Amino acid sequence: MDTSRTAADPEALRIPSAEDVRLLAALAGLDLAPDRVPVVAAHLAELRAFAAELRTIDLAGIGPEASFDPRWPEGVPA
Amino acid sequence: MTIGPANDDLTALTLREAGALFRRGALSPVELTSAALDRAAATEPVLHAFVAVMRDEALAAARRAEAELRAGTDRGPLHGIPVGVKDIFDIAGMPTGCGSRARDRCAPAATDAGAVAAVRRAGAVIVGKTVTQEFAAGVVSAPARNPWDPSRIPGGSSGGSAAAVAAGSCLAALGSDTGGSIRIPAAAVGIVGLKSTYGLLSTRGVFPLAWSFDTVGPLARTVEDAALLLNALVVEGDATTEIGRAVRGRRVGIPRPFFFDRLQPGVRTAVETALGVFADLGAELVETPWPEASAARAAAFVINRVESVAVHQATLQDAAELIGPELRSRLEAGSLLPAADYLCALRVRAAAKRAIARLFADHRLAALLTPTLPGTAVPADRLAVTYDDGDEAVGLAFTRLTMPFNATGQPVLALPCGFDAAGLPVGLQLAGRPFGEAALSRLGHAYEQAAGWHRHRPRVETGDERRE
Repeated sequence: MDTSRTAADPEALRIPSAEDVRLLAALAGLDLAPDRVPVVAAHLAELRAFAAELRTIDLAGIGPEASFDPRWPEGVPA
Repeated sequence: MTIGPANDDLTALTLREAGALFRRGALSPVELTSAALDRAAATEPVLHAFVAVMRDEALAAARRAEAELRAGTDRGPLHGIPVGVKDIFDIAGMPTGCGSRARDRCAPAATDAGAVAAVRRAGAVIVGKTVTQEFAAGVVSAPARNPWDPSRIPGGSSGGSAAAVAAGSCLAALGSDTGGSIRIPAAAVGIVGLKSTYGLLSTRGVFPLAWSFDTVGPLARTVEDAALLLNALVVEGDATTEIGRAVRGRRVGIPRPFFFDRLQPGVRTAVETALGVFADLGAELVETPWPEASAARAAAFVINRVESVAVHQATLQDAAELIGPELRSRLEAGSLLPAADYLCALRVRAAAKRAIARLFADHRLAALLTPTLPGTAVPADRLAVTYDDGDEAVGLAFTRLTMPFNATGQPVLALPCGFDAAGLPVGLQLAGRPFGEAALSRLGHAYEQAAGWHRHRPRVETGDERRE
């Protein structure tokens, strides 16, 4: 299955509004004063633009390279 | 007043030159360290490269090195060499301030970072802790300034280390590179910086920025000096083994789309001229577009931001007011990004690595060559790179060409390749195969010796700057 999306995807390109940022910040437990919402929204928009660019790559068959070692630490008693 | 290098300036010595003089008894580590400390004392009112100059400790270490060398104990090329350390590395007994008010009350480090312990074992003399952008997250490095023009930034985040090396306040320095933080200041101040292969060197005792990108590495005035410092940091291997070998027939890829798209004219001219030098040396230049470069940069950007949030989550919740306003806003925005975007970035990173491996294999490349920065150092009071068609914020501009290689984890050697019309340094970067630092040093050294840009040093003045 081709799980890639294009940069034209409307959701990927959606610019977060000040209201979006207020709601998300509340969910994340951030204490965000009203006067700081615009600058955080601008940074989030920048991040979302980069995230949208990620969708220009065909990711079929490619998973995230995140390593995890199931072995227990040395010295753990049997 | 002008503070510049004289013909007999000890701080103009390379590591090998200084070492040879030590071993002949013609120079002592105390004399060299004193010269570096004197340079720091003279230039610090202008450059602000150091958080702390460790004069007494450095002179004591230099005396020990001198006694050891006289007694026949030789620790190698770093023995007795003055070195600076970025203030995100732990030095036992000193606070690791990370350029942040959030660290104002931090306890002194109990032990040295792995890299600091390694350079001490190699006999280096630590002269001080150098200025970093707050938590190594940015390219400005205030209050540090550029030795070529103190009205301009030195780049970052290892800006203090770079400025100190360029000024001669130390012969080499430790820095870190998560999005370009060694290469960016190296280019901005006209020295050499080596981003090591991800995972090659210990980051123990180094304050993290983004775990899956954090690397440490050397800043120095020559490729060989950088390789010698790298050698002190690695568990095994020798980055100098290929230095001096010919580069005839070595294939160097030029990925013009993305990397040459938007450059200041002075940068374009200097890098194109450098390509001619490589060709004259017999290197085969190959046009090799890397279509995934822009997405690789996007992946690096997203991963960097999200992991930074995880690093600072507790401070963000409990004492956010202690984090500087710019970084705080970026962290807050990063904490609002969907987790799916982070995972997508990890997948793109894997795809970018496969693509670059294929590119190197298909074209039998020794390295890719690109500009390090799209523009030269910007004024501290106007943080934007200006092109013919408009401006770009310096934080985005200076990381644009460096971050793709943080995504792929390759080693990258940044070195000077000339000056723009205003006399500001221009740099190029050579990206190699994983763990191929020796091969990069071969290419970089050959170019450096042919071009000779490493022989130019700034004269630090209280007013205008100019090249010697």
